[in-house]
Amino acid sequence: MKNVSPILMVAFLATLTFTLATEVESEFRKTAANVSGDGAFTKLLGDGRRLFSGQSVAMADVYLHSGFYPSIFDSVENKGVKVLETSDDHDDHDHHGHDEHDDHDAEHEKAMSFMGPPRDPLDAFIRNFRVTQHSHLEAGEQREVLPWLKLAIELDPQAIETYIATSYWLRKNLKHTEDARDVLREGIRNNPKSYALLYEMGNIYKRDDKNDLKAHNIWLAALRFWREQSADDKAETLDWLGKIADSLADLELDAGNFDQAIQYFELAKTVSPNPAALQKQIDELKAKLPSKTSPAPLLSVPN
Amino acid sequence: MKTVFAIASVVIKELYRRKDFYVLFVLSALITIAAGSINFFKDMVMVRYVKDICLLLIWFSTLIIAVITAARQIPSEKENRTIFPLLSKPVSRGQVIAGKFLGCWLAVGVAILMFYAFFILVTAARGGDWQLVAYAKSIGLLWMMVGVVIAMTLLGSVVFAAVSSNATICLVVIIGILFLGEHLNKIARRQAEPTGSITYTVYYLIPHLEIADVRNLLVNNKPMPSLKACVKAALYDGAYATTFLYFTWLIFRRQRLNT
Repeated sequence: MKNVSPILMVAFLATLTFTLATEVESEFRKTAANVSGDGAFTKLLGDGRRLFSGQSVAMADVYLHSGFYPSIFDSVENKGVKVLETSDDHDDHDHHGHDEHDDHDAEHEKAMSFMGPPRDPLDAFIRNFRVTQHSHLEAGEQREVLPWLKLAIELDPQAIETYIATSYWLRKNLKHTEDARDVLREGIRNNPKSYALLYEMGNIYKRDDKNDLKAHNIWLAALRFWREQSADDKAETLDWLGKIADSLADLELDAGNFDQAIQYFELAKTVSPNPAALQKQIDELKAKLPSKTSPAPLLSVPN
Repeated sequence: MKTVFAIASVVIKELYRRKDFYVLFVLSALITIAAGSINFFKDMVMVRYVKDICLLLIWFSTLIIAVITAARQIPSEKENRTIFPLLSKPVSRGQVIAGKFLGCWLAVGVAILMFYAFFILVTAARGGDWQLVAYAKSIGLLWMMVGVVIAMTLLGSVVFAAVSSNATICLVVIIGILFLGEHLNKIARRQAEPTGSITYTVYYLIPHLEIADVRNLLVNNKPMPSLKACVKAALYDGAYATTFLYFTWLIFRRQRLNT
């Protein structure tokens, strides 16, 4: 075979690669369009990535408790350690008593006292090298949990609690309301019928934007999606109905729509752990009703 | 002692020549820098996850380097038949063991220092605190723990026939101790007798390598153990390393070398 000049060979190969690239690239675009939105983890691990999502949330929990966290062996001894809890209800005038919050904190402390006294001298020695005090991140340090929560979302886009927790920490501790909203939007995109995400989104509009009308509409959508569930699912998520109804009632109350507020309070009462407090509020509102005859037109009760 | 240092210096030079350290260092650096360059919610102050990932890679790389370096020392001398000229000099088998151990230990110590230098730079770049005393204690604890790992692997290298089997078995044992070691007492308490007592005995017998794992303290900016506790841990590791080296010598001194 006659010797070919290396320059010609390189030129030929470059032309060949360029030609093939134009062909392959268009094919790749078509494929990429079908799987748009899939991150690196989806490409690498497929659906198996969901297995690691819980681990990522657990890492966020470990950080939140400054490294003081039960291992799987401790968890067996102390069941029910649930630590990554996020709720705006702590800050607001909800219908749970203070005693209930105190009980919750005491329960949390009890759950986190998994370590107990040293079991033997070696155990006592090893504890010199471990985090042995229960404390939570504070003063903006809560931001440290966010990378793991973001990773957990990437790994399992259907895990509703992760979106809620991420948006909570962004909003409450970092005051990144827009980022929190984006996280919830992403969650709603991936879980369009999630009443929990809609409820949290409504919270942002109500508490941060003071946009009652938008909050009202979003919470109504949340209520509709909650009602569209199967009977079994409804039975398991009654607390969400309580939250949504409670929030809607508060909105109506603020708008002076006592009639509608009473209806929502009645709905919340059916699932409330403290129905007596709600009944008291309903009675007070009913007493005010005759003097308030023309409700504000802003908010309306759904059919 | 001069002989021991001479053998040790050869081992250190061997680590420079081989690519293991460089590959693991570059890999660790790339992963850490990639993780550190991710911008979560436009907030670049988050540093703990970067520290966590970097320390995990340091531990992983250090253990791999320690086991691989120690596992091939005696078998390669035998395979290349360089053990004969080495022992024909006024060098005892005990000195060979001590020299090999010291060389591996010092070489891995240098590797740990380089890894930690990178770790400190990355942490500082992300706005982390300068916890130099904490870093020093962490390095010291890791280095002492690696001494036990190297001694254990050297023992394995005179017991098992192949380097690969020795390295695999040692890594499985080391990872097992790191994950389960400190929990064996809890497991033992839930077991029926005599399994419970056997598990508790194993708990006391194994070298608790996980003692040196203070990554959780470093990552979460918690106070490090006292100097007294660190010295005790160093003595604990020293005792185990000596025991393993003694058993290595017991086996190696009567071992036929021309097999």
